[in-house]
Amino acid sequence: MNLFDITIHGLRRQKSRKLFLGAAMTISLSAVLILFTFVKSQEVQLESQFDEYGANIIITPKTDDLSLTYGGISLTGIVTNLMEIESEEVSRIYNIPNSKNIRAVSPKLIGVGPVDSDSGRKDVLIVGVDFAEESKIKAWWNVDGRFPETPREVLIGTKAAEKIGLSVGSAFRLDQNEMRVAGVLNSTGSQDDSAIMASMDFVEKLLGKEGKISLVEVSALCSDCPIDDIVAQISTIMPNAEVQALRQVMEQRMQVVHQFSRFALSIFVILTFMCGLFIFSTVAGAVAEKKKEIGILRSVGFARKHIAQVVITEALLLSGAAGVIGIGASLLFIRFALPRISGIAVESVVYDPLLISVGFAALIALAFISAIGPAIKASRYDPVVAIASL
Amino acid sequence: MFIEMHNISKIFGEGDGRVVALSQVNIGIEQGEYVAIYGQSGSGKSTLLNILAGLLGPTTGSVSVDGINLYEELNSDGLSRFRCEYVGFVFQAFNLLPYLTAYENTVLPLAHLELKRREKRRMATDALSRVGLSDRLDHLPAELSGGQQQRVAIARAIVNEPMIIMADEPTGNLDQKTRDEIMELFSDLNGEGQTVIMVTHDPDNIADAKRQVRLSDGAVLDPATIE
Repeated sequence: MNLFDITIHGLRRQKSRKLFLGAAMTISLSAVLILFTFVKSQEVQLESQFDEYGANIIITPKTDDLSLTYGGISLTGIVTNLMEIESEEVSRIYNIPNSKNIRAVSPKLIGVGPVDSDSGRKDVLIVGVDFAEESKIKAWWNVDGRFPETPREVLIGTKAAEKIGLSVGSAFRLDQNEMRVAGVLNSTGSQDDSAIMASMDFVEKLLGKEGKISLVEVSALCSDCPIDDIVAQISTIMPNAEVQALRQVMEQRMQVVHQFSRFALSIFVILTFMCGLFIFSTVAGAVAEKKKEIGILRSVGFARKHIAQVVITEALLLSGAAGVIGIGASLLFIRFALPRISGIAVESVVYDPLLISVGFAALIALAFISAIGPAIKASRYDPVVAIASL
Repeated sequence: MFIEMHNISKIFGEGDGRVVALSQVNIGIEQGEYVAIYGQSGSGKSTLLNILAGLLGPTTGSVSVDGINLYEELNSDGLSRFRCEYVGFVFQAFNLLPYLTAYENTVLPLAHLELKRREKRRMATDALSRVGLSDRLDHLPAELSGGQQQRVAIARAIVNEPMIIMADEPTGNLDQKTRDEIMELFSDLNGEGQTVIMVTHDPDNIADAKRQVRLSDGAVLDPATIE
């Protein structure tokens, strides 16, 4: 028999008290692990959703004057008769160090063109786009009809279609070119509603600006990289362009993420405090009940440190067992219940070994810290008084 | 002198609640002696034994055992080591841990020592054999008679081969027949060379001791002087 055996014997006693304490520790650890896993998974899912929400980087020509609003975002230097970006520069974006984070690059050439239709001639905002890239960035677009497939097909905003009197399949003339409406873009609340979008090659020829770009919208996946790094990298390879991160989108995303994190942290602090208090009161109660035993141990030669060691080891073993059970329970919950309850996609659930390790270590540390006080008190019991206590 | 108590006083409480348990007690005990300390309830016998065992510090005076001045030279851990190495304590109420078997209760004083498990087992089974309980190793205290429980307590007291056996009313909870068996056991231990100090209020127990010290109201009536 050694001190560890005595600790094991101690664990087997006061079973209801120990089970209650073990259950409290198990539930606390499980709750923390589930909560943080939920938050982490939610963050990943949110970031993914935000990344798909639209462009978060805008590249415009450097200019000292004028500004133009596009898509509700204030941009500088988009004046078609001034400066443009060379289209060959755009391809370099895929060579930046963080190129794996680039989800879509959508260059645009913007100008004004005369449209002849049954309602007469009107000047309309013409936007040359790469429809494949544009559709990745504007995932929320809802189109009646389809995206254009030939240079003589266009996508027209709902306001423009209404004012010009066009609908899906309508034919019209754009600066002497026979065009056809492939699709009508449902209302987006942006200037896309008032524009006609055609293929980049066609608009370049229409405006006489071959190889020129008015602006580039970039959608970067930023769940594991800082947007500022990407902006800096693009600025380096495109020295004549102004590269700006759309702070509003980024800050909104980070605000939501931080709100979840703060909430989880608050719950963690509360649970830690309550669990620590529970461990302290339970161990203190157990020690008080074992006062006579402690007196006997002291009378047969146990030093104070031996008594403290037994009390603390008991708390550590209990917390260790509760930790293992808590981890198992939380993993089962996360695997089978969390996606159903929270609506998080199963593939978005994040199993973080570091979180599990830190949670387990935190529980052990909490048990140790909470048991120190009762252990010191137990070690200071006067053996004569303790033996005479019952 | 192996054990020396000089001018020991012990006062509990303060003011109106002040109780003088011991007053100017001087006792000397040679190694291998069998001493009975007797007196009525409240005479200070148990307090004296607790002070001798390093469990309770005196208010004044000094206690030395084997040249060690207990309460001046030793701190709390030192007193624990002293109890472990020098003293085997037997209580009136046995004070066995109810959830441990006879063997486990006996081996308890060795639990914190750096000894091999096999060595601890040998020492504990030897001690239980000496008190005639080698066939009760795995019995819980509740499965043993009062006399057997006290034998386990004695086995626990001698398992670490201490120099002194101290017994506080060891037969107080036993019938006459069992009492005689226990007293014979103490005599045997003393016969093997161990110092035995027994506190009792039972005159029948005194006869077995080689020397008697009588306490009354905290003072020694028949002083066994150091000189």
